[in-house]
Amino acid sequence: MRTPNRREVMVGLVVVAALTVTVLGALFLKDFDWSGDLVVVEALVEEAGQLRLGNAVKVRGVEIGRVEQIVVEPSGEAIRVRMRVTSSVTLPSDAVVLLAPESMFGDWQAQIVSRSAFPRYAFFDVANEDVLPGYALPDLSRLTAAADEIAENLTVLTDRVELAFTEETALNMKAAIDNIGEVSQGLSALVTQQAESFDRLTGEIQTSAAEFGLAARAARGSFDEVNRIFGQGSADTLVVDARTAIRNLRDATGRLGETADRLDNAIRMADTAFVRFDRLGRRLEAGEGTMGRLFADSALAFRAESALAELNALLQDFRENPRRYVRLSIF
Amino acid sequence: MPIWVLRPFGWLGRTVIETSAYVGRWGTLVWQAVRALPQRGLWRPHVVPQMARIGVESVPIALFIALFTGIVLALQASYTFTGAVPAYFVGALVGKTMIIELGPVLTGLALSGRVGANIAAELGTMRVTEQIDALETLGYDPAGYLVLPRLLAGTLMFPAVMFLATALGIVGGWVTSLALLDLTTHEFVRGLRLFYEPFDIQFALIKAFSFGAAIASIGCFAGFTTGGGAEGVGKAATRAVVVSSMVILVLDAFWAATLL
Repeated sequence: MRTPNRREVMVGLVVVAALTVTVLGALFLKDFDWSGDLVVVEALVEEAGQLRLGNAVKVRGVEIGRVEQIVVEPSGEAIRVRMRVTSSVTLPSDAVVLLAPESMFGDWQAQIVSRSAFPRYAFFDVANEDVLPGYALPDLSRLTAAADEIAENLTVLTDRVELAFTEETALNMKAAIDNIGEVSQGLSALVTQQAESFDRLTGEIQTSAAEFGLAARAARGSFDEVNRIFGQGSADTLVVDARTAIRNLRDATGRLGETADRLDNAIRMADTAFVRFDRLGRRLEAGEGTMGRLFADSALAFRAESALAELNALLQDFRENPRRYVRLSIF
Repeated sequence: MPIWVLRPFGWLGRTVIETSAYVGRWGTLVWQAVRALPQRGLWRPHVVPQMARIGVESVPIALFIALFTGIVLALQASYTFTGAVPAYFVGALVGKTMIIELGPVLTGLALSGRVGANIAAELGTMRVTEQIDALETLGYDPAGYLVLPRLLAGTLMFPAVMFLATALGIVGGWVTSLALLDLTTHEFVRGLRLFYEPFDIQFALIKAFSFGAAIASIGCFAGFTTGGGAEGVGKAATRAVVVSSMVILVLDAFWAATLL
């Protein structure tokens, strides 16, 4: 075998370098599994949306693999999406595949999620447990179409509002807004007032709390004092004194009971006297009896007064001249 | 009918006939070269030297062009993608553009100037100095002896040069993204992989083979059809560059229209 010349070596090097760069580059761009720890996960979806080969497969937002194959099932009722994902990731027990746009620029992704997190989505019914149910979200074009429809509806609504919104409506709305403004001001004033009251209440509560604190400290001092007293052995003396005081108090209470009984008798007698006095008053007022007639008849009163005056004069005269009226004889 | 009315039709007809004749002569030459494939002893010793001249010696200029193309692509992409477009799209644009478009086309245009002109000048000189006639006199098949090795070398080596250039262009875009743009390697690679499909490599390979064959065959044809001495050699080299450049662009559009 002849020795290769320099040109041949150079050509060989360039060809090998180009082949190496091409193959390694293609594998790198395809995100080839260099470590060999990838497993295949398959899902069935009703439609694949804009999902393409090589799109990312994610769990909780972290990329764990790539979409490897997208084929229509022989029955034509579903799309089988084959994904190659990292085997070290534990998928949820109720795992499903959600196909959704990854960004606004057309690239999609396959998200492996828990079915319980998306109860509203109609995932494809899969009989085989090895295949995950899937669901494709509407792509942006469909959302845009929906947005167009909404915009048209808004246009119709706007036209109707334009028809209904007359000058009178505007004036009414202005008046309503003014009223709302007044109400708002009133509410604002009320809120301010309530806030001030609340501030005061809060201050009082704080003051009370402080006083409670002081009282608590005083009580604590009293308790300490009681503890101290009990601790000093004066308790026996206190108990004896207290027993004596209670006995004295019991005696005093007994006496007070007797006094109260006597007082009851006096009150009953007074009641009787008042009743009689009341009856006498009524008779006097009615002009009954001597005193009554005297009070009721003024002429009789004058006569009585005159008689008294004459009696006084007679008594005066009797003192001055007793012999005129009394004749003393012994025999 | 006035003659001024007939002149445009005459010019158009003459152009079509001359172009058809040119293409026909070119096709004839290529066919003669292909027919010489069984004569291995005739062309085989010349293939490797031609591969070295056409391929290996073209690597530096191709890499230079691709490197700066990748740099400019990254810078222009970041300039364009301000605002709503994510920065990692720089990687997508650099990778996709370099693999399926700029890598093959720019390498093809560069090699059409260097390789096409070289082949046309070399064979043109041999033609005007009657060396090709001498070969025919000695019983050698000029197409098998001169054209086939260059055709094989151009067709086989162009993809290698193109893929090396494409790779370096992507590396240039990546380094630019790291050094001059606010982009990480992860973001650039994410964009690079975002729209990558294995068919991109096949597409680039088809382009590269066709571009290499076109450059070599057009250069050979320009040299073989040289006439008029040294001036004719210059014209042949110029014609080879112009025609091969045009053919590269036409092929580029053709493959894009038929394969994408």
